[in-house]
Amino acid sequence: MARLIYILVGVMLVLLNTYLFSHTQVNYTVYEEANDHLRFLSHSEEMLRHDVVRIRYSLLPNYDPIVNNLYKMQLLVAEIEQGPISTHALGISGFSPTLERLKQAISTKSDISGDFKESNSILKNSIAYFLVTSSELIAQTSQAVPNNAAYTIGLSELPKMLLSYSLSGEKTPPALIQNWINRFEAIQLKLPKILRDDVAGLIKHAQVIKEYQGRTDNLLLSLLNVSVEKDIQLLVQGYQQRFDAEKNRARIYRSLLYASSLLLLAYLAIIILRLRGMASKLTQSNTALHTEILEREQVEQALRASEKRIQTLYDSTPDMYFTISEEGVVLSVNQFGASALGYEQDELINHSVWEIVHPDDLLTVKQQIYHIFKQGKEYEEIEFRKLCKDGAVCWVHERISLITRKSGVRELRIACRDVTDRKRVEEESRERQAQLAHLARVNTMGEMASGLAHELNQPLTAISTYASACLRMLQSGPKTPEKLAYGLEQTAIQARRAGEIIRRLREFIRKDTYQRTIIDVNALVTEVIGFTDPETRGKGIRLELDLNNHLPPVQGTGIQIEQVILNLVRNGIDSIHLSGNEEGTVVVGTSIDSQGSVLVSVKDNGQGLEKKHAKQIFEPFHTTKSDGMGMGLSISRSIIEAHEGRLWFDTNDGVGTTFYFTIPAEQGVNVA
Amino acid sequence: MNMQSTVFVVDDDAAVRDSLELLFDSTGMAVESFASASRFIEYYDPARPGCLVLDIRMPDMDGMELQKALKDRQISLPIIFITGHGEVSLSVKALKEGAYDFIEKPFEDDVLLESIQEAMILDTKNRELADIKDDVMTRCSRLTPREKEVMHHISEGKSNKEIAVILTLSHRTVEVHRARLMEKMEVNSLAELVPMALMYKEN
Repeated sequence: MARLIYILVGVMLVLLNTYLFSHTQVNYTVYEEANDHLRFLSHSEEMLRHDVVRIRYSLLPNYDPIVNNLYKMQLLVAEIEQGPISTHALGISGFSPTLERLKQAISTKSDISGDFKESNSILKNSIAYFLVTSSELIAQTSQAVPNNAAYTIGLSELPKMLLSYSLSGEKTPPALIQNWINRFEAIQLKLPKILRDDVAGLIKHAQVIKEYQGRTDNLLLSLLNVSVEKDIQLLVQGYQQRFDAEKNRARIYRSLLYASSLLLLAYLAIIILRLRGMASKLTQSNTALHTEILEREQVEQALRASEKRIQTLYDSTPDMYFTISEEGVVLSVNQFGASALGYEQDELINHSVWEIVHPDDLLTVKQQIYHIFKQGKEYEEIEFRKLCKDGAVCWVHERISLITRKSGVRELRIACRDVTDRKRVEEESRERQAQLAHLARVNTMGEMASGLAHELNQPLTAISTYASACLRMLQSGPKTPEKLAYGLEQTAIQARRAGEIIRRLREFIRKDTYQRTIIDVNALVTEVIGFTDPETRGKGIRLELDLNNHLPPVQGTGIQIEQVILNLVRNGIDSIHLSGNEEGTVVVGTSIDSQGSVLVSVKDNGQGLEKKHAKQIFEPFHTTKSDGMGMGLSISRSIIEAHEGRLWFDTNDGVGTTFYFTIPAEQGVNVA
Repeated sequence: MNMQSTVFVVDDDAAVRDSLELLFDSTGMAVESFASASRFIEYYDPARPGCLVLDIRMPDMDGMELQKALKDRQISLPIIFITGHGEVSLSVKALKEGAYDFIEKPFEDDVLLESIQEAMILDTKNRELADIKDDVMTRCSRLTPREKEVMHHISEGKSNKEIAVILTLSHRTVEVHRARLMEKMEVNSLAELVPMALMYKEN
C-alpha cells in the first residue's frame, strides 16, 4: 500500500513538472516573425516615402521601387492576416480593425501610386515634347516677329530652364509657365500661319505641364499623407504587450517549476534513502534467495530423479493406470496398462475408454462412472470385464479417484488391476462350495428321506382312499353324486399336494446355478417349514415362527440360504430330541439388525452346546451326532460368508441354543 | 348291547381322515374321526363297540401311546394301525402290545375293510366274552374263600376225597361246599362249572 502511494506521488510530481515545463516555453519565433513582418512593413513604408520624394520631379523616374514596396507591403499584410501570426495575435484587442485599416491604406496608396504614375507619365511626355519642339520653334518665331522683342526675349531660354528644373527634380514654377503661355499667346497671332499651330501645340503642352505638375504634386502629397505608420505602431505595441504577458506567464510557471522541481528532488532524495535501506534488505534477501535457489535446484534435481523413478514405476508397475476425461476419453495410460490389454499407448490415448470395456458390462460401468461424476464421489471401486485387443476377456478391479483441476475440468484417475486369476479362483471356489452345498443337501435329503416318504405317503394314502371310496360308490350305484364329486375333487387336491412335496424336494436337491436373485427370506423360512414338518411331528416338537413382515429383500442363492435355515432347524430338533425335553420348541425368527441387514434366528430349548464343542462346531467333520456327517454347520457358515453375512450362536444361558445369521439387505445395483 | 359298531379314525392328517370317512361311509359303516389321540380319549365312550383305525406317527401323543393309554384304561377296542412304510420295528412292537392289525399306507381298501370287519367281529366277541366274564365274576364273588378253594380243586379234576385230604376236611364237608358253590354259580353239572372256574382263575 505504502509502495503504491510512493509510486503515485512520484508519478504526480513528474506529471506536474512536465506540465509546468511545457508552460514555461514561449513561442519566440512567432513574435520574432511578427516583428520581422512589422519591421519590414515599416521599412517598406519608409522606402516608399523616400522613393516617392526621390522620383517626384525626376525626368526619367523609376516607379518600380514604389510598386515593389507596395506589393511587398500587401504581401506582408496578407501574411499577417492569414498566417500563424494572426492566429497567435487574435487575442490582441483591436488587431483586426487595425489590420483592416492597414490593408485599406496600402490599397489606397496603391491606387494613388497608379494615378501618380499615369499623371507623371503625361507630365513627362509633355515636358519631353516641349523640350524637343520648343528650341526650333522659338528660333523661327523670333525671326518672324523681330519687332516684338518684348515678347520674344527670353523665349529661347525656356527649354533650358524647363530641362534644368526637370533634371534637378524640382517643380517648374507655374507662374513662369503662365508667363510663357501668355507670351506665346501674345505672339501667336503675329506669326505666320504655319507656325501658329506649332505654337498652339507648345501652349497646349505648357498648359499640360502646368496642370500635371500640380496634379502630380498633389498625388505625391496624398501618397505621403496616407500613412500606415500609426497602425503599424499599434500592431507592434499589441504584439509587445502580448509578448510581455507571455513572458510574464512563463516566468510565473518557471518559478512554479523551480518549486516543483525542488519537490521532485526532495522526493527523489527520500526514494533514494529508502532504496538504500531497501537495497541492504534486498542484498540480504538476495543472499537468502540465492541460497534458496541453490537448495531448490538440489530439490528439483532430486525431484526430477524421483519423477523419473516414478515414471519408470508408472510405466512398468504391474498395474494399469488410466486418466480419463468426463467424456470417457483416455487422456493417459501407462506402458503396462496398454500392453496388458495388447495395445500400444498411442492406440488408447485420445480414444474412447468404452471401446475396451466388455459389452456385457458396458452399461453398468457407464452408469457407475456417470454416478461418480454426478454425485462428485471422490473414490469408488468397481470390478468388471475389459476386452483385450485380441478379444480376450480380462477381469479388472478399478480404484477410481475423481480429480478436479483448477480450471474446473474433472477427470478420473484410475488404478486398475488384472484380477482375472482371482476371479477364476473365486469362480472355482464358488463352484466347489456350491458342489459341496449340493452334496450336503442331497445328504440331508437322504437323512430326511423317511420323513419325506411319510409326508408323501399322506396324500398318496388319501388319494388311494378317496379313489376307492368313489369306486365303491359307483359300483353300488350313484345314490349320492355330491359325495362322488367331492371324493374326486379331494383326490385331485391331494394329488397336487403330493406334487408340491415332490417339487419342493426336487427343488432342494437340484444343482445350484449360483445365480443370485432377489430373495424374500420369510418365504424361504416358510418353504423350510414344509420340510421339517415330518421331522417335528414324529418327535412331538413344536415349530414356531416369529417373522418380521417388513424385511428388506436380500440378494443371494435362495436354495443355499434355505439349506442353512433347514440345517439349523434340524439341528435344533435333534438337540431337543437328545435332551428328551417333552415340550421341545424350535422358534425361527426374522428381523432387521442395527445395520439394516436381515437377521435370522433359530432358537431351540434342547440340550445346548457343551463348551468343549463350542469352538469346533463350525469345523468340518466335527459332529456330536452318531449319524451326522459333521458338514452341516461348516457348509452353512461358508454359505453365509459367501453372502457377506455372519453366522454365530448363543447358548441361551444353558437352555438350548440360538443360532443367528445375517445377510446384508439388497441395495441398488452391484457389479458382481 | 345292540349298539352299532363304529369305525373310529384317529389321524392328524385331515386328508387321510377325510378320505377314510368317505370310504367307510360308502360301505355303509358308521365312522367317527379324531385329529389327535387326546381328543379321542376325551371323547370315546368305552361302551361303544367298533374298532380304531390309528395312525402311528402323530404330534403330541402318537399311536403307540394311545394304544398304551387304552390298555391302561382296560379298553379293548381292536386297533388297526395305519402307517407309512419302513416302520417294521414299530409294527412288531404294536402287534406285541395287542394291536389287531398293521396296515401300510397307502393301502388297498379291501385289505383295510376286511381287517375292519374282522376287528369288529372280534370286538363283538370280546364284548360278549367280557359280559360272560363279568357274569362269572359276579357269581364267583358270592363264594366264600373255602368254596373258591374247592372250586379251584374241582376245576383241576380232583375228586371229593382228594380235596378233603388236601384241605384236611371231612369228606362230608367237602360235599356240602361243593353243593353250595354249584348252587351259587347257578350250574347243574361239572362240565358247566369248569370253564367258569378257569375263567376266574385267569383273572
